[in-house]
Amino acid sequence: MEITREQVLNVASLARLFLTDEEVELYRTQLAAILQQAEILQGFDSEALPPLAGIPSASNVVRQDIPTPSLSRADALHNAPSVTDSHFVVQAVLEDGQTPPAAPA
Amino acid sequence: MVRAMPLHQLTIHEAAGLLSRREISAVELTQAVIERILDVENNTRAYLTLAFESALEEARLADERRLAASGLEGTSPLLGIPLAIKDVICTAGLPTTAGSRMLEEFVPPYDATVITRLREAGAVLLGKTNTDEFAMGSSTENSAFFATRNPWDLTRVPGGSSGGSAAAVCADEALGALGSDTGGSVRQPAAFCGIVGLKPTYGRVSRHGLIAFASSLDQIGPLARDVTDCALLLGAIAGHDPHDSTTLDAPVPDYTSCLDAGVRGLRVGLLREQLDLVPDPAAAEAVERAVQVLMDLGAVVEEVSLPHAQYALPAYYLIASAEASANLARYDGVRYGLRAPDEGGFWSTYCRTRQQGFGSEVKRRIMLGTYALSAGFYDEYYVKAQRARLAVKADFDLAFQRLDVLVGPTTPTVAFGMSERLADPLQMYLSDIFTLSQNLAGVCAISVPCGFASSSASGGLPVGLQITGPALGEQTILRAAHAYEQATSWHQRTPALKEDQGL
Repeated sequence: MEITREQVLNVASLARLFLTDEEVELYRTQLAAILQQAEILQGFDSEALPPLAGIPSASNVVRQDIPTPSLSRADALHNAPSVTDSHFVVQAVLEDGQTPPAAPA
Repeated sequence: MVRAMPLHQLTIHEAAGLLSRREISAVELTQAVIERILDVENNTRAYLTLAFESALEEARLADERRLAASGLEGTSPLLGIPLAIKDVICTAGLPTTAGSRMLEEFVPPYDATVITRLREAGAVLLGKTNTDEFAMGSSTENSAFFATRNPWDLTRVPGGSSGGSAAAVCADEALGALGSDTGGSVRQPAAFCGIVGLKPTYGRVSRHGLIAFASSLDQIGPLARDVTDCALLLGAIAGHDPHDSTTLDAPVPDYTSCLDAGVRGLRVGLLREQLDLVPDPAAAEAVERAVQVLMDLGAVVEEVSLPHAQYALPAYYLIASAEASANLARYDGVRYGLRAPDEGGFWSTYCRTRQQGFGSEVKRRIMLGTYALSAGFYDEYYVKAQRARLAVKADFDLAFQRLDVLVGPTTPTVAFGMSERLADPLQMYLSDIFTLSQNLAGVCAISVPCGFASSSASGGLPVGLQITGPALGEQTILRAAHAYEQATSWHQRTPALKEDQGL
């Protein structure tokens, strides 16, 4: 099982993680080792089985439509790192040159 | 009455008896446990947050409640009982960090449903216990803050990820605790610390307010000194919750009512293949002797195989990591949690926030999960793992057609040394090899102490016996565990933890 540096950087970018060079190399070898163990699944003749996403309990669960209090604005904002009186503050997303980056090389 | 035993050593049911007969007060009991924490916490390092002031206030209110309810029926056995809570369970007004820098400053605005229920029962919350970051780990060494130590041998891990809760109960720093179990995180530390830990059936206990790791596998479960306490705690937290659509509607029985029914005629399947994977002969022998005890008590034992067991470990790590990578996408530094200094625009801040907020194991699992879910690998890894999950579940379904419970070792080894497995994630993952199948299948399981093995300063380390039952089989596994416990004395052993051993 071989994983390339580019694959690691691509996955890190998808996961919105910056990695240091050391981390890229560490995860390259460790992910390869973990996926090597998972190779055993390739030998498992499973096509007859449907994939199981979770333990089914009931389907179409709905809650009774009874209004209940929700969090106050102050409580909702309490843990935010940056707020105005009534809003979360986020940096501009759509300014020029703002694209999801690959990790710095 | 003269009490031979210090208050902090009481079980929940013993303390409940003394409280109801007014021989002690909840304030006295809580004060005694607080003093115990002050004596030994330097050694165990079980707690991330201590809440002595609010705990004493809750104890005072519990005493008032008891006075007001005087002569009335229906007082909860948890009224005035001091408990510890794993720090992945939200407690309003009390910091909840998940063992992560990402949530170092997080104070939840609401209680998890299990906390609401404990508060309604009148329990006293002593504090929040250490955990591997976001419950990802098997040793509690992945906590971003510090490692918890095993009270039986301070150079060894307490297991994980609920290692803080297990160490606290083991070292008498709480009468009982809650943990969470995604692949063994209640049962494995319970085994390593010589206490009782139960993973309920998927959906038996609400996950509302549990910081999500892998939503199709996570369950909150109790850790306690004996099976009766475990049953009491489970009864208090179990049940349907409109805030968690995966909770089951089934009525919650009185889990203590069937404890004494014994195991005569109980059909028990011994997982011989798991036993064969235990390298330490003394540990394997402890489990064999436990099976003999069940036979002597009238259980009918036969050997049973789970043919797809070999697929459980890789399936688990792919599924758990895939779900984790999706669940942890919420940590973006906007609504709560850490945010890196605003530099270089939104995306840069976003990615640096996650770089700085997450530790090594969390990043590893996010990477693995994102890989397994990414285009080109989804069918090869994630879907394949889900098919294997069905095969693992089918093994249990088949076994439970003719057997009531399955028994085997909880873990392949006793508690290992600090930092022994930190550098090799695969070695660490192997310590959950006997516990993660139950999460994949959604069934219930309990670990009870069944002996001691391996040499150490304290003369041996605890071995756990795992008893697995079918979905909603909690009464059966508790009954079997209780019958075993009553026939043995392992659960009464306590570590010779001295005050401040100065490590």
